[in-house]
Amino acid sequence: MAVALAALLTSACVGSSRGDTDYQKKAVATTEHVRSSVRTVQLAVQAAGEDDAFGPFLSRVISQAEDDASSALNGFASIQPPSARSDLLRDAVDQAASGAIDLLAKARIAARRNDLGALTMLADSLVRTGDQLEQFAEDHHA
Amino acid sequence: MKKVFALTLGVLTAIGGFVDIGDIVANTAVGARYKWALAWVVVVGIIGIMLFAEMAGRVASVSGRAVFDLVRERLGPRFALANLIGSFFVNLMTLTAEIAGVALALELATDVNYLLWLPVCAFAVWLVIWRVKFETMEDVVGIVGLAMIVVAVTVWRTGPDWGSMFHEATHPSLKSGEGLPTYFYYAIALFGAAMTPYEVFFFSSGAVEEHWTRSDLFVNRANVYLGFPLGGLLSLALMSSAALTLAPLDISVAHLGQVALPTALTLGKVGLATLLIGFFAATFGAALETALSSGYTIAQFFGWQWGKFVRPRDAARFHTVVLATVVVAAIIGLSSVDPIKVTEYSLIFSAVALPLTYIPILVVANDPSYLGDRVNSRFSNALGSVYLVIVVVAAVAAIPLMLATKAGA
Amino acid sequence: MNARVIDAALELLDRQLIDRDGKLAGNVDDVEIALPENWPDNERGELPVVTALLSGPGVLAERFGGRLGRGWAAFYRRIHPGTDGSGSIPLAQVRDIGSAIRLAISRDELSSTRMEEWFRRHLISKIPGAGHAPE
Repeated sequence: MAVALAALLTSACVGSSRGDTDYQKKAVATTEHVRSSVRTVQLAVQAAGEDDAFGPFLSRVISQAEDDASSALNGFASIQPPSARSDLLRDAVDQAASGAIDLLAKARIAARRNDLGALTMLADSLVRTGDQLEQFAEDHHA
Repeated sequence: MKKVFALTLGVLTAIGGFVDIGDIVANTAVGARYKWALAWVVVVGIIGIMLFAEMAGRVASVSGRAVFDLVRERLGPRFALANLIGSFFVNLMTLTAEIAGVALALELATDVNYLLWLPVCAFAVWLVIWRVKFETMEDVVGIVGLAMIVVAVTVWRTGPDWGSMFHEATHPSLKSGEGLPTYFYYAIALFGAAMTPYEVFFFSSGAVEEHWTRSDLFVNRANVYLGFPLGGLLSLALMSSAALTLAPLDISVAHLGQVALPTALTLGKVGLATLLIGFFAATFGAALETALSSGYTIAQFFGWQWGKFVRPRDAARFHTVVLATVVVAAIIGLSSVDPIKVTEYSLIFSAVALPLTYIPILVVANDPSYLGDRVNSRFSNALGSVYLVIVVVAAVAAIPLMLATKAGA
Repeated sequence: MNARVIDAALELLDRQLIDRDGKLAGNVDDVEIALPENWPDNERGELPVVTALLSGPGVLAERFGGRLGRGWAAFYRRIHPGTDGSGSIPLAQVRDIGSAIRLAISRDELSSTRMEEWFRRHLISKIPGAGHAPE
């Protein structure tokens, strides 16, 4: 019993550095997920700009991408950061992803209103946000 | 004219069976992630399903007996029962995915949540099976399903560099950060999408439904050699369209809408509308096939009257099974499972269950007491043996790879 | 001389039954055999004779044996009170033995198709279009 407990404690201690790496991987996976959603919406907005797609289709594609991004971030937010160092990473992911999700929400609102002008105005920021998330993932690659 | 329509069994099996929700999702997801590095699996899959379906169609035409009937006769009731349970389970999963697929296609067209469409779709599937004549069902779904060809047009209009495309397909390489287990996991999913057991239950039972005989062996071959390559071509087109438009942006595919984006961008509203009709027909056709297959397998195991060639009241237990399976699939679909995830798992379990039907067919296709002089040629047997190895390896590797890669995450 | 020597296990068991109207009527789930006196030491060399074909899920369950088979058989007897559920078909009613076995009677005369009848009466016939010819 005592041995088992000791083993458990040591593994918990050793785990902290491994935990950080793990957490970092999850952080990168989360931003990648959000980036994929942003890129999807980027294509949808491009299609809207060229009058290549119907309103219901655009609105559905965009809201699904937004839902995916939010659930990826929520999933990450519910993970306990293993150390104080990881807290910083948590904040960084949260900031980058929340900004992106906000943008996706704007796109969804415009698409639901069938407001093509507002939708196409988001094109540039979508590209920029996608690039930033890509950069973020590269910078934090474990 | 009749001969032309006789070919629609192959087209229906190919559109609704080869190109179904599983192929649509798997080929697009793989194209977006690996570009053409897994295109070889589609080719392996097409040849495999052609071999497999030709044998099953020949056995059905010559002996008048469908697959499950023979499974029990040749391998005994115990093995056949285990087989029945496994096949039925995979079939139910596939049916759930297909009905959800029809609902997802309607969701994209209307922006109304697919969960509201799902019961309507399930009812429509049952109603068609209940009322519509087998041949009419095939002709309509097969012809409308041809709308999927718009994906091939998309690829052609995108104007890819065919040379480098071919090079990437023939010299597969992995980009950095991609592991081999995940690569092979997706290979098995694609293989499972190409060689799905229900296609063969349906094709062989359909041959009996259409009263094929020895003299229809030509029709059987023509169906197999035209229908499945068409399905394979569409699979490669889906993969390419994703590789050309989604892969450069590194988009990972999780929804049916993403599959349609390249076509919308390339061909505009008309292309998009055509593709959505194609999605609808392909998934609806596959839903009909899987729903019927659930009835076919159980009824054939017990020797009950089955089929749409008799009045429903003369095949009461068969129609009861079909109705019950559609209801259960709809309930599973409504229970907030992710339909795309169900689809992905159904592909993996298809690969696991494949030897259960492949092996008996290979055995019977060599048995002169059923086939007389129409037993397998030496060439078919050589190829059949190679595929026996492939099918068994894929089945054994599927679950360990799924667990090791966390389902390709 | 109607007697014919066949391999019962290979040519009878698990074969499809087709009734006189061409309707599928179940499978041969087991066979009933009459053993000659003192078999297998019968001095006249008589062979066991198949006297009837048995059909129905209850029969199949008995053939399976084991816990699953016994449970299934018990369940089957319970929902079919007053019958052993063995659609016993005397050999006199068998017309032809081939890749399927053709009967000289209608499937409605078999006790093994009671479930078919039950579903026909209580479910399928109640749905509009059940008697609609398939054209």
